[in-house]
Amino acid sequence: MNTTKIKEKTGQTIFTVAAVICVIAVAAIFVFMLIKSIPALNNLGLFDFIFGDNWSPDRLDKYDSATLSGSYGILKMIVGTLAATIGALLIGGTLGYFTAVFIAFYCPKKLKKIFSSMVNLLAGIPSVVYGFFGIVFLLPLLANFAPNNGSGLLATSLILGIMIMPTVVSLSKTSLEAVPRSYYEGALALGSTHSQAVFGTVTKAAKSGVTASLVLGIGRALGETMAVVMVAGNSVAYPDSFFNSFRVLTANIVMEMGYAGEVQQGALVATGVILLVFVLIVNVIFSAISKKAVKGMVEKKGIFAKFFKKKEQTKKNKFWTKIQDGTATLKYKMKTASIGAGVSIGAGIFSGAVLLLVVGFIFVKGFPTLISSPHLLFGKYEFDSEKITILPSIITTLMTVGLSLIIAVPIGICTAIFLNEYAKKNNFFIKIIRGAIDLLNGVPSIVYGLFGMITFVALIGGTSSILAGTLTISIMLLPTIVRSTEESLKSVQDSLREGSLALGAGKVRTIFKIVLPSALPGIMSAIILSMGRVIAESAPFIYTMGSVISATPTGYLDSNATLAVALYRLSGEGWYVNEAYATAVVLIILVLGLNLLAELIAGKLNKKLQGDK
Amino acid sequence: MKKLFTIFLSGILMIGGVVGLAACSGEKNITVVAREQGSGTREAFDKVVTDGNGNYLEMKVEGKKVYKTTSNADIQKETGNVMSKVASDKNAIGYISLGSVNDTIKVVNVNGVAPSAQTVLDGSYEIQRPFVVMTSANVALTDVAADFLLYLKSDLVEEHASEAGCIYLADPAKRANEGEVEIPVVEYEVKSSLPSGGKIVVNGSTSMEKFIKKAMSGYASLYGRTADQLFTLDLQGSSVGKIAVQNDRNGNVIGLSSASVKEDGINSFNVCLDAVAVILNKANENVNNLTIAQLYDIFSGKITKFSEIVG
Repeated sequence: MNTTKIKEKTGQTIFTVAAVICVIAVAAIFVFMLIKSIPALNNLGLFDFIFGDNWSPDRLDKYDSATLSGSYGILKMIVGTLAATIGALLIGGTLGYFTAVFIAFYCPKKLKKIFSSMVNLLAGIPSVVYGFFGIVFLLPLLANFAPNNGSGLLATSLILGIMIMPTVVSLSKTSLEAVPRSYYEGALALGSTHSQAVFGTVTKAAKSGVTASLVLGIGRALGETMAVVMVAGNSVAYPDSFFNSFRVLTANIVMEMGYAGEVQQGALVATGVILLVFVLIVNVIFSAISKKAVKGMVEKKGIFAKFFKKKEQTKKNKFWTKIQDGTATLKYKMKTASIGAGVSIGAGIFSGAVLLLVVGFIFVKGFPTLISSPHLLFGKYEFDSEKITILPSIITTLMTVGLSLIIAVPIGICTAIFLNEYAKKNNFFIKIIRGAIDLLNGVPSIVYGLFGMITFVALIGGTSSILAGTLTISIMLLPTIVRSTEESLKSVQDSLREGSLALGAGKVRTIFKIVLPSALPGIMSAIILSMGRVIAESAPFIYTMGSVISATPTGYLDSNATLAVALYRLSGEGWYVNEAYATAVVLIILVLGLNLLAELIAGKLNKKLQGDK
Repeated sequence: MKKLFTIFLSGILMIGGVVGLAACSGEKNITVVAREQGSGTREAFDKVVTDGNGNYLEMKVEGKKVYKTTSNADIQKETGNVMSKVASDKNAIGYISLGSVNDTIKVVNVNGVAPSAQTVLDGSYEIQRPFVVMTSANVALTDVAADFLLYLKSDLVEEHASEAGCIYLADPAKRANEGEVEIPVVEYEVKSSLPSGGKIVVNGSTSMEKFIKKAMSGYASLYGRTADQLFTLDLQGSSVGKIAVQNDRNGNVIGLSSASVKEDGINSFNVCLDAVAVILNKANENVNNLTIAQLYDIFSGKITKFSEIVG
């Protein structure tokens, strides 16, 4: 056997193994969730659990007791989750989509880079920071015209909307930019204006990517915990008005897990299963929709055209028809051109403004503390001192980011390569793998936390440790990396691959020398998003890594709090609000720094690539 | 572009209109800020607050748990979140551990009694709960864990309790659960060197963080160590602490609970008492005292405006 063949075989084996690891991770989570929830569901009854609208747990309830004194029905929380997700999608999805269009087609070239990195930054801001921003800025603002203190559905939708926006923007943008230039040019050649070409042709061609970005957005909204907990109010009640305390499923888990008794804990894991089912349903619906959309696109030319055509037929008055016709054309043009463009530009500006507001507000509040108390950053950890230091947390965070990327990035990229380059597109198993990965992406972070608590924490010796937290977050990063890498691999044109193969290069060689370099900017942005996610997450760590700031860790077996968890603790304790703001500033600076670094690397690689050409 | 400006302008006008309309509206509803079901603080509050006719905020009706706290309540997971909610909302009311009270909020009297060490110990301030230390009854504790337990049972922790804002319990009868064997205060003798047994794992209630940290440092300093050399501290809530104690195989787990504990396989004693303070926004000058019945009406949603409270 010659070396090329060995290389080919090894490459293929590695990619396949990576995909298998991914599948095992997915399977493990589902199996664990089911095993843990079956006793509870058996005891409570599936129907009563889902459609019961009375949640009054008793932590003394046990499986072997004759009757349960608590009631465990989650209907109110299900409705709450649905309402909040829809609200978030209306706000964040719309805003994100138009912002993506703005960045891709309307933004002046010089601003484009800044805007893209700003959106990435927004993705990196921890949910705890958003929640805190919600409490100190948004709620008082809403309270001006709300009958209560402002918390409720509206506040939750707004905060969630802002949170899912970056996810929608960055993926929509990638797929919009991946549409071949010829589509746009063809539209122009047929007489379209810039805006008509963008909204009539390019956005339609990018539909599947945009849909995928919305799926990810929904996943994030369904799974978000901390920020929602801070602004929703969390009473077990239906969200029957914009300003009424309500509770979502994830909040139910994180609120009660720490104090839960045996049956209650089972019911909370079962709550996670219900969330999982939601994510599954959402995924199925969306893949159906996006398939239909692609089919239907060929037949009709825009909803508006069809709508006005129908009206035209029913009206017989010639003059009237003429006017109607005129306004219809005008409206259609306006719709596609001026309004579309206007909304995009408006959305872009608004997104920028929101980012500046969140970051600016926290900087103004937190920076003075950061300057005036250097102990916070550089102080030696003292056990029971009133002086807070976050140096151990910074180190913990960096350790976590480093190791989790080392674990997740190779596996994620190799899996994506396997899925896109090796797997047969219509293979049944591949479809299942892909579906499972999408599903994994929507699994709420708090569920990963529970999973890590039972598996990794137990394996490592019973106490929480940085290693257990890191392994947990690594699994969590996989779907993001796989999905984004796949998208950017897809955008590499097949002619490049064919060219390379035609010149006699093997498949592995083609992948490493041709495909991967072309897809690198997309992969880099996936890694940036992943870094942001590790830094931002708090829910998966609380039950796996520990939640108390302690002395600087000496190894991966120590337990400690990451920066985001530290912020959650600090803001939760109430005595250290200024320190919390300062911690938020440090977090944001860290994310910004990482982003700039990653962008620099991506830029250099791009240049090198162009140089090679 | 003109169209765009029109849209923006009308948007601004609409928001302005809504804000203007709201400014004219009358007194706002009370924002009830409560803790989540299962929290020790909430349990202590709910089991005391009653309308006087046998209804409690948390009670059992025909064997089923019933919670009466209004569904309009804002439920918060952490003491600090309750405080920041109350501190930022003129019409808010909440309850937190007395040790956590600071000057961002104000504490009201309950039935005319202000929460303090004395009123909690003599029982005249009714909303109170024990802080409990738990160990496994099924395994032998390591030397160092057993020694730390002795330290916690001694009067040396009185100082730590007062530093942490909770009330030290010296009465042997009150240190045990009702109807159980009394748990006396022990004399702690410093050993010649630190007993063996490796690190002690401390796990449980977040409410007890301040107290246990003081106690851990106090103990460690007796042997010239720092607390993080002797302990692993992990606070995730009372029931996580309880599970850790039940699953203890090495005899090195000390559990903390902020509600009384009666479970098989767990030895426990009440180390301090904690009052649950009812807190209001500082700008709420008219209300300084609430009766238990008024608290019931407010938290169950019967009273929705502070102006309905006379006196």
